[in-house]
Amino acid sequence: MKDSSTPAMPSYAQTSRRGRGGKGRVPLIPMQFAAIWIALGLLFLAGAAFLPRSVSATSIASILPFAAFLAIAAMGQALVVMARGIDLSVPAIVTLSSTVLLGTSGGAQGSVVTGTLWALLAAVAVGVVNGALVAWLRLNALIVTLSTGAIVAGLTLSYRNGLPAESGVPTALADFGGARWLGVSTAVWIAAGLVVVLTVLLRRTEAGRRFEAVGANPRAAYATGVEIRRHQAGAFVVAALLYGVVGVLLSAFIRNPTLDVGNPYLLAPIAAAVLGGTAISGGIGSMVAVTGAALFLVLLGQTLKVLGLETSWQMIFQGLAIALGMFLSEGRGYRRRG
Amino acid sequence: MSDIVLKTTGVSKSYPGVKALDDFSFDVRAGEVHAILGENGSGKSTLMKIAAGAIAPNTGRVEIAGHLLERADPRLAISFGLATVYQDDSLVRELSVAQNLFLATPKGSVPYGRLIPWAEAQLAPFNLGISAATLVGDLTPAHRQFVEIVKALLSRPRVLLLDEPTSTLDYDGVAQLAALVRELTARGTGVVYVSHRLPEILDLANRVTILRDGVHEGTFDVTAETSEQELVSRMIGQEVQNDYTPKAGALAGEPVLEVRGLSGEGFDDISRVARRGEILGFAGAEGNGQREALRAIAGLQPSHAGTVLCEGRPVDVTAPRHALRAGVLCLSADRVGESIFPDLGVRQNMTLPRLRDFVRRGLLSPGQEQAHAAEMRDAFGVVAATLETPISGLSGGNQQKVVLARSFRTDAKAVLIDEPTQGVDAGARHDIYQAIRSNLRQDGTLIVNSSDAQELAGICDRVLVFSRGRIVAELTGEEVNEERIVSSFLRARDARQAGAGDGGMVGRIFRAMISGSSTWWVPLVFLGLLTLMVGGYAALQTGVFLKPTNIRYILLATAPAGMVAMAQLHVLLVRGLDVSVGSLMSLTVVVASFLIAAGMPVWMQILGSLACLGLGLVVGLVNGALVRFANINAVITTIAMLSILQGAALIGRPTPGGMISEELTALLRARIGFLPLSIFVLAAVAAAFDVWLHRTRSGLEAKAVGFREVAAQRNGVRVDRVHLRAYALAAVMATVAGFFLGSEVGVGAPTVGANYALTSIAAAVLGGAALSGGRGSFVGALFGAMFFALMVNVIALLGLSTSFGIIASGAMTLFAIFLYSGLAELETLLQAARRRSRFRASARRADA
Repeated sequence: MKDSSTPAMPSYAQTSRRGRGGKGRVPLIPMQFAAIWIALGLLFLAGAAFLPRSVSATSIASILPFAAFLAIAAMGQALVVMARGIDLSVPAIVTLSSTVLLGTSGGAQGSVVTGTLWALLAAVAVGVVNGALVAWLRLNALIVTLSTGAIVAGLTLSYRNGLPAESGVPTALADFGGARWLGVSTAVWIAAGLVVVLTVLLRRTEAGRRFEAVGANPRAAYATGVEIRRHQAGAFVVAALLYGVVGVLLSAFIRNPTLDVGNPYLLAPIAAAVLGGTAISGGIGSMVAVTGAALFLVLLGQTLKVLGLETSWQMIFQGLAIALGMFLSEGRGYRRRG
Repeated sequence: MSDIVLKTTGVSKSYPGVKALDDFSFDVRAGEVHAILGENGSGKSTLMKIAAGAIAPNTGRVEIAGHLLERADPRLAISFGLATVYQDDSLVRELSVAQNLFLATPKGSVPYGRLIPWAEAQLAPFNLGISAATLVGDLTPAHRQFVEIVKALLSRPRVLLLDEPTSTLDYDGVAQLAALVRELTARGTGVVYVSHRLPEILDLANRVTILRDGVHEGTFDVTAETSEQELVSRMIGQEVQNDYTPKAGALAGEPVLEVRGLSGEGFDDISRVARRGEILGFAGAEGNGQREALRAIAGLQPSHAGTVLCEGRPVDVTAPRHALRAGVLCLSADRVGESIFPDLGVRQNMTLPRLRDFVRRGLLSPGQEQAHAAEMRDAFGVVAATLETPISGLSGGNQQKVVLARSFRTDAKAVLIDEPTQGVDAGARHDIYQAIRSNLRQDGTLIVNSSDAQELAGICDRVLVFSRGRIVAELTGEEVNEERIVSSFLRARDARQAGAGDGGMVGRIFRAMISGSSTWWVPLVFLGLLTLMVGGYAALQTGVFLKPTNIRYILLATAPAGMVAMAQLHVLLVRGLDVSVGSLMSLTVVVASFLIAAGMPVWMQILGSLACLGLGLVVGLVNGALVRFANINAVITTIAMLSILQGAALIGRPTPGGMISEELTALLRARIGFLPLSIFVLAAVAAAFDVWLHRTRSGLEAKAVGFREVAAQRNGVRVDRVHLRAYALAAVMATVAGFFLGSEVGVGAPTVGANYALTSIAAAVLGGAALSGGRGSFVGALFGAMFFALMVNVIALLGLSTSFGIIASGAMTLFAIFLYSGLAELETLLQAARRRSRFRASARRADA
C-alpha cells in the first residue's frame, strides 16, 4: 500500500469570514429595464432630427392615449409572463369588456358605473377561468388562452348580435374618455396611476414579493412554503382586469366601439412585455419599463406612418423587436434555465 | 501487454478549489473484475468520466486495449472498446427495450424491420426473462439496469465500466447482476466495478483499488482472507479532522419532532424522535431512502402513511407550507432547482419567508428589510458585491449560506437540511458547519442528511443509518464516527423494500382509455366515436348532410386543416410548438395571388409554387435556428414569426384581391368520383409519415428527442438536426396547406389563415399528440382535422350562428388538452386533497 502524505482535505484558512458587501454598486435601475428608455430616447432624437413631424407636440398628444391603452394591456401581459405564462386571449377580453359595457350601461344616458363594473367583472371572469386551467390543471397557457380567446370571441359575437347595431357608450363616459387634465388625456393619467399601483404592489407588498418568487422559481417557492397556484392564477386574473380597463377606456375614447376593438392587442402587448425586459423564464419584470416599451412601440408606429409606410409594417417591426429583444436578454451573460 | 484492457498513467484532474484526482495510475486486465472503492466525493466518478473520454484530464494518459486515448471523445473511447453504464441510465422510458437497444447501434447496422428478433437475440444470452417489445418504463429498476448493460455490450467492449450498478437493485437483482458480470469476465471482458457495497465487492472483485480524496490508496488482490473491516479502515484513513465546531455534548432534551410509521416512495415505516438542541444525522449510501424520508417529513414529497408531530402537535405534511406553519422546514439539496431564486437578489432570496416582519402600515419597509438582510449576511458570512446582486452570481458556498440564513430565520422548530455542503468549496464548509451549530435553537432540533460520512460524524450528535428504505442502525455518543457510519451502511445486506405508492385508479383507467400514449389506435377510436355521434346527429336532423356534395365539401375543407395539423405534429413530436403556421398559410395565399396568379403561363406557375415552398423552408429554418441556436423559447420565436408573416401578408394585400390561378385550383380540387382527390393524397401523406415515425430510425430518433432529449443525445442522436428538420418540415407543409386554402378562397386574402394555428394544435392533440413531446400520429392529426371540418359543416347546416362555431373550436381544443394532460393533473389534485382531508380527520381525532 502506498503511503501517502497528502492531506486528505485541501487545507484552507480556518478563520471564519465575516460577510462583506457594499463595495460594488448595483445601478438603481438594472440594464434590462433601462435599455428600453434609452431606445425610446434614441428613437425620439432620431425623429426630432429627421422627421420633426413625428415628434411634434400635436403628434405626441395624439398618440399618448394609444400608448396608455397599450401600456395597460402590456402590464397585464407582463404579469402573466412573470408567472411563466403567456396570454393570447387579450383581444377577446378587451372586446368582451367593451361589448359588455355597451350592453349593460344602457345607451347614451345610461349609467357609467353599472356598465364599467359589469365590463370589468366579465373580463375578470375570463381571467379566473384562464388562471384556474393553467395553475390548477397545469394546462399549457398558450393553448388555454387561445381557446378561451376563441370561446370568448364567440360569446361576445352572439351577445353583440342581440344589441342594436349603432350602440354607443354613455355620453358621460365618452366625455370622461375625451377629457384632458393638465393637457393630458385621462387615459394617460389612469395608465400612470396603474403603473404606480402595480409597482407598489409588486415591490412593496408581501403578496407582490411572493408572486415574484413564484415566477422566478416555482419549485423553490413551493419548498419555501409559498402557495404557488393562487399566485400563478392571480396573474391571469389581474391581467384580465387590466384588459377590461383597456376595453372600457378604449370604448370611452372611440365612443362607438365595434367587435374589432381588441384586435391590435394580440401581439403588441407581448412585444411590449418582452422589450420592457420581462423575463420569459419568469419572476423578473418592471411595470415602468413595460410602459416605456409601449411608448416606444407606439412612437415607432407613428414614425412609420409619417414615413408613409402602411401600418402593416408595424407588425413586421414588432416581430423583429420581439425576436431581437429575446435574443439580447437570453444571450446576456448567463443562460437562464428553462 | 495485450491482456491489459484499460490503463491510466499519472492521471490528474483539478476543479477550482478541489483536486479531484491526483496522479492516479491503475490498470484493468482482461477477464477480471477490478473494483474501485471510495467514499462519496473521493474522485470515483471523475475517474470514470476520464476513462470514458467524457472529460479530459489535466495530466496523464489513458490507454484502452493498447490504444492511447489522445483526446477526450466518448466516441473514440467506444471505438477502442470501452463501454460505460452510468448510474442514471440513458434509456427512453416511453420506448420499448428493442427500440432503446436499436438507438445505440450505428446507423444502418440493423434493419428496422427485424428489430424485435434482433433485440431478442441480443437479450437471449443473458436470460433476463424480459421481452424486447416491453416498454422500458414498465420494467423494474433492476431490469432497466440490465437493459442498460446489454446496450453497453452491443459494441462488444473489451472493458466495461459499471458505476454503482446495484444502487437501484434488490437482493435478487444484485445476484443476477453478479451472474452477468461473471459471465462477461469468463468471456474475457475486463470490468471496472464502482460500488459502495463491500459484500458485493468481496464477492465479485479480483482486485480492489481504494481512492481517498483523489489519491490512489493502493490496489489489493481480493482473497478469501480480505475482510470488510480491512477495506473500511483503508478507505477512511486515519486523518484527524478539525474543521468541525465542538458538539453540544450529551443532551437528553424533550422531543421536538416525532415521526411515527412514516412510509412513502422509497422509504418504509420510519419512526424516530428528534430532541431539543440536537443535531440528528441521516446516513446511507446514495438512494437508500434517507433523502426521500427527510423530504417527506417536511411535506416536500408525498408520504402515504404515518404521522409527524412537532412539539406534540400533528404536522400536516401534504405541502411544505402547511408543514412550515407547524414548525417544520426542509432545505432541499437541489439548490438551483429547489432552493434559490437564481435571478433574484441576495436580499430577496433571504427575506422571502419573513416578509411579514417588515410590513409597516401595510407596506414593506425597505429600510427594515435591508437592515435585516444585512444582518443576516453578516451573521452567516455571505460574501456578495451587494445585497441586490442576483444570487446566481454567487459561489455555491455563498448561495448555500444565503438559503441557510433564510431557513434558520423562519420560526421553524425543526429545520431539515439535505446535503448542507454539496457543491460547496472547502473554505465555505467550515463557515456552514459553524452556522449550523450556532443557529440551532435552544428549543429546536436539526436533521441533516448527508452522503459525506465524515461530515455527519463531525456535526451530528446522533446518526440514523438507512438501508433500502429502512433505518438499520442508530449511532450515538462515541459511536458517531466516520468508520462506524460507513461500515453500518456498507455492511447492510437486507433486500430492498420498495415502498409502493398509492396509485390513482380513476386517472389510470381514464388515461389508459383515452390517452394516445402507447396504443396508437385509441385516439382514432375515440375520434371515430365522436365523428359518428356528431355525424349521426346531423344526419338525423337534416337530409342534406349525407349528400355526396356535402361529404365532398367537408373533405375539401379537411385538406388545409389536415395538412397544417400534420405540420404542427412534426413540431409537437420534438416538444416544440409553432404558432406561426396560420400566418404562414395566409402569407402563402397572398404570395400565390402574385406568383401563381390567374392567367400566368404554367411554367411560371410552377416556378411560383416552388418559390412559395422555398419561402416556407426559409421560415421553418429561421424558426428552428432561433429556437435551437439562439435559445429563444419556441412560443416566443413563433409568435415573433407570426407577427412578421402576418405583417408581410397585409403589406402584400391590404385587402383581399388578386385571383389565384384556376389551374392550381382545379388541380387541388380535382375529384375521383364524388370524392376530392386531395383527401386521398392527404391520407397517403399521413400514412407515409406514420410509417416514417413508427418504422424508421429517423422517426424513432425524433420520438426519442421528444421523450427524453438527454438520453437521445447520449445515444448519439444529432438533436439539433432533428429539431431543425421538424420546424422546416412544419413550415413547408404549412405552405402546402396554404395552397389548399388558396384554392378554397381563390383570392389573396391576407388574414384567411389566422385561425389555423389553434385548429392545427387542437386537431393534432385530438389525434393523439402530446404537448410533452414524442407522441402522436399523422393519421390521427388528419382525422382530428376532419372532425373539425365536420363540426364546422354541421354547425352551418343546422343553421347555428357563426359564433357557435368559434365557441365550439375553442371548447374542443380545451377538451382535447384537458383529456390528455389535465385529467392526470386533476387526479394529482384530488389525491392531495384526499391526503389533506385524511390528515384533518386524524388531527381532529387527536384533539378529541
